[in-house]
Amino acid sequence: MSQYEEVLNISNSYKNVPVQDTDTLEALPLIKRIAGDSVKSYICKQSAKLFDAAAKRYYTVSLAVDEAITTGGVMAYMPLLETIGGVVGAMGVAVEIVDYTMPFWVRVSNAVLTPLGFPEVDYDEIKDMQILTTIWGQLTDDGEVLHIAVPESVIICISDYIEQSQIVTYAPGPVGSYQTVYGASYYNVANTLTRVRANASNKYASIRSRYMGYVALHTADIPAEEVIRLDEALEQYKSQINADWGRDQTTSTELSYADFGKTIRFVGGDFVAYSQTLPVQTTDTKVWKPNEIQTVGVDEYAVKTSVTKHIVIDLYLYNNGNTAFSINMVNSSTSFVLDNRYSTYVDYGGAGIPVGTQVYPYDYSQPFYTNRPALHDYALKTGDGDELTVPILYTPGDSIPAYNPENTLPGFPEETAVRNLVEQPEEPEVPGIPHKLPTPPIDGGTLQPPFFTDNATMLGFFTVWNPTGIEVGELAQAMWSTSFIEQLKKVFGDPINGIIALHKIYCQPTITPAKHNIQIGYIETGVQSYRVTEQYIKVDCGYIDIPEYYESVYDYEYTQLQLYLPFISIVDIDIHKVMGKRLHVWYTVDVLTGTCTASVAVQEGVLDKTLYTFNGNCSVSIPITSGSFNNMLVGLLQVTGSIATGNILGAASTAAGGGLAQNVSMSGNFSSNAGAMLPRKPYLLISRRVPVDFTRTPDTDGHDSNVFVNDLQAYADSLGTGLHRVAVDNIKFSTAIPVEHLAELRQLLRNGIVL
Amino acid sequence: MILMLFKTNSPAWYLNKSLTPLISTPINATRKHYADGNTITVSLQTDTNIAQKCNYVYVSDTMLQGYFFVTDRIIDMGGLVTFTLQLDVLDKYANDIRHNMQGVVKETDHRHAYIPDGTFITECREEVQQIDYPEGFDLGAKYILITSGGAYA
Repeated sequence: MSQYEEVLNISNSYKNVPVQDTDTLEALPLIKRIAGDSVKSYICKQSAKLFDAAAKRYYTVSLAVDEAITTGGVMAYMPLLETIGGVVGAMGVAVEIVDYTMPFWVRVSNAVLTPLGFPEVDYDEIKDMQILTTIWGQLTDDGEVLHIAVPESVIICISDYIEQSQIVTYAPGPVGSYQTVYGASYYNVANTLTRVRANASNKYASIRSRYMGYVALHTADIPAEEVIRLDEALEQYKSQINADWGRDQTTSTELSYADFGKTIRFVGGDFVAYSQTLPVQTTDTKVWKPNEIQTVGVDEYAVKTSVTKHIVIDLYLYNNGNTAFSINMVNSSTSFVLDNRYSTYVDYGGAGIPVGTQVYPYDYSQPFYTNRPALHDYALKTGDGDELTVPILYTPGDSIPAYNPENTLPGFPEETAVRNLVEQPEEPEVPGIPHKLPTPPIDGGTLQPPFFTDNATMLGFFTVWNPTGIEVGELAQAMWSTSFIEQLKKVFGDPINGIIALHKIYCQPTITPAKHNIQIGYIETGVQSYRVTEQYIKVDCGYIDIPEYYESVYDYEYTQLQLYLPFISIVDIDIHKVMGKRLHVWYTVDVLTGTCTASVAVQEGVLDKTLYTFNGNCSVSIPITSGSFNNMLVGLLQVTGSIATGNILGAASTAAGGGLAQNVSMSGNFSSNAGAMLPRKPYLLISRRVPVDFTRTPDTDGHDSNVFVNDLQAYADSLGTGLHRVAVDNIKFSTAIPVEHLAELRQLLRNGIVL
Repeated sequence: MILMLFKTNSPAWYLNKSLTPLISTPINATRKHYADGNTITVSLQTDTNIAQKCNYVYVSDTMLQGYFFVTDRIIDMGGLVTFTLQLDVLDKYANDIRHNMQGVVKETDHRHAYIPDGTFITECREEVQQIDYPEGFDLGAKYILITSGGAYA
């Protein structure tokens, strides 16, 4: 049973069980653990992919981090910010929020980069994944960032819902009081926070509730003094959180005026929006793509009348890439559903919860206890290109006060940095090459580079024919007739001198439309055959798209690519140059000599960028005299000799990226006769490392990886009885360790020790 | 310099090594060479059988104290033994490793498939994927005949 199925089963078992029944909650820790792992691994994967993009820009991740730390340069922060942005984006927070609330990115920067900046750590030895692990650790540990990131997660955010259900369990009460939890009334925010704070051990719930209150601050009708009051209340609450969790209050940059008055832009998850305005209605169309988390702002589904409502949005991203939405507008006073037209649930005819149904706040927040079937069972699957037209009831900037920089609170030195970040010039566009291009045909079509047209077959000193096998036989018979030989002797001395070459090739030459009488010199042979009109032939082998497999740096550093080229060899291809692109291979063949050149190109746009060229010979000579056969044998022996001495093209070179084990020779040079006995189509060989442990013991339940530990002994004790060999990297001692011992210690710890 | 001679069967990566004393009382030794912070060479007079068995030594000196691995030994005819000793850094900093260290623990299991990048020693194999190009050279051969003369008409 997969993790997802396990969660789903448990979810189903909770569908009709009142959440107040605490006896039924015994399995919640299990769900939480599974869900936590799923989210973590997904985010690690996503962040690895994005971090890879950042790493490419700076050659190595270490370099990017080094630059960020040692120089404090804003530029170096950018790839990391992109990474974090990607992480956050993967967790359901709109990346586009950067357009509106730049301080958000400052907070992310502070929260993520500042903890990374402890100078004792030797970043040169930090591997990419460990950096990501550290970032993830910071994200999970630092509530000041999590209040934006984790609670809004839309990735099977089961643990979040469980935490919410615990709130309800802890403080049951009438429906009306619950609404305050979700920010329906800003006057009750302080009480809400107080109540949630009593459950302060529940980190997610606390943060989430706080964020709900934070959302309520954006209503346009709140008097300025009330905003201040709320600000103070939230600050007080934040301080309490900090005290409870031992956080340093001075590091908090939560809730500033810079955030107020910009936009209501909370996305993903299940949220409650609150507004009392009636903005102008417009429409917009969103195109959904698989495996892409759409950033759906509640502002796009905002209130349509002056009735106080809140909007409940459940947004789910399933592990199969599908998404599902439940968008229901609920009257804040009556808790009745007013509008559900934008829901994509199919269990109610695609119309969400029936209008008029009374819902309860905890329905919004926990899919395990609900009066409707489990979300997983009835998710409407959106496919590539599906369109969902949603009304945009106001445009940010129209009904919301414009950003006023004078409102920015003091203590925001990052403003300058952010401004610099924004003003970074965009990458220059290549003139004449549009960014988005039609998908080229698989056979290359007209997208290939121009082909040269010089031609030696028309010179007249010799004639090139394309006879069939039967015609070759007829020619032999004609040549060995007595009368013919006598004529040839008069011209060439030796009749066979009239034949310059006879060989086979494995592509169709360009020929005349009609057959001609084969002439040797001026002597007619009486045998009809086609003449060859072009010296060079192009053999297009087509394209192969090379997708990323791990979607991370491992697709580059620990993956090797080789290309089998008929009549040439198996050649190494630099994975860095072709990964994620389309690799085009074509041959140019000289029909006179059989010489062929293989061009290996990456297609970008309409252009083929030729990265590699190789040459060989694709003709097989046919002996017509004992002398020509002898020459052919000599040529073959020379090739064999070069193989024996190791002087071959096919010897695999150093491993791509240095991550793979040492290569062995894959092939020799198989031109000409040897090549004709091998496959005639090119193919790619992609080598990846796969841990044996993973496949050999699929049922083994191991311990967590990538766990940041402060006390190794305590961690080892937590593993239970038995012998545990733990490997630790990215180590940092709080005591002074002599340099001459540190390197050995690190190596031992990396390889694993037994405490 | 005083030495205690032990035999241990515990691997080097064990923090708590099981030790079997080879002598009942400490033995005097002469420090001959102090190569760096990790390696020293000492001479001592002891039974050759004990010297052969000994692979772990506790050293007590004014300059250094701690457990060392015996990495090389030279036994003279007269019973003079020369040990090359390598500091057991795990033991020396055992407490720091246990309690005064931060780091990232990594293991391999089915849930957290660790992709071998060389950081840790893991068993791994190489999977090779073959992707054929859609086109290539023809399977059938075409003959090319080149004859002298015969100016193109």
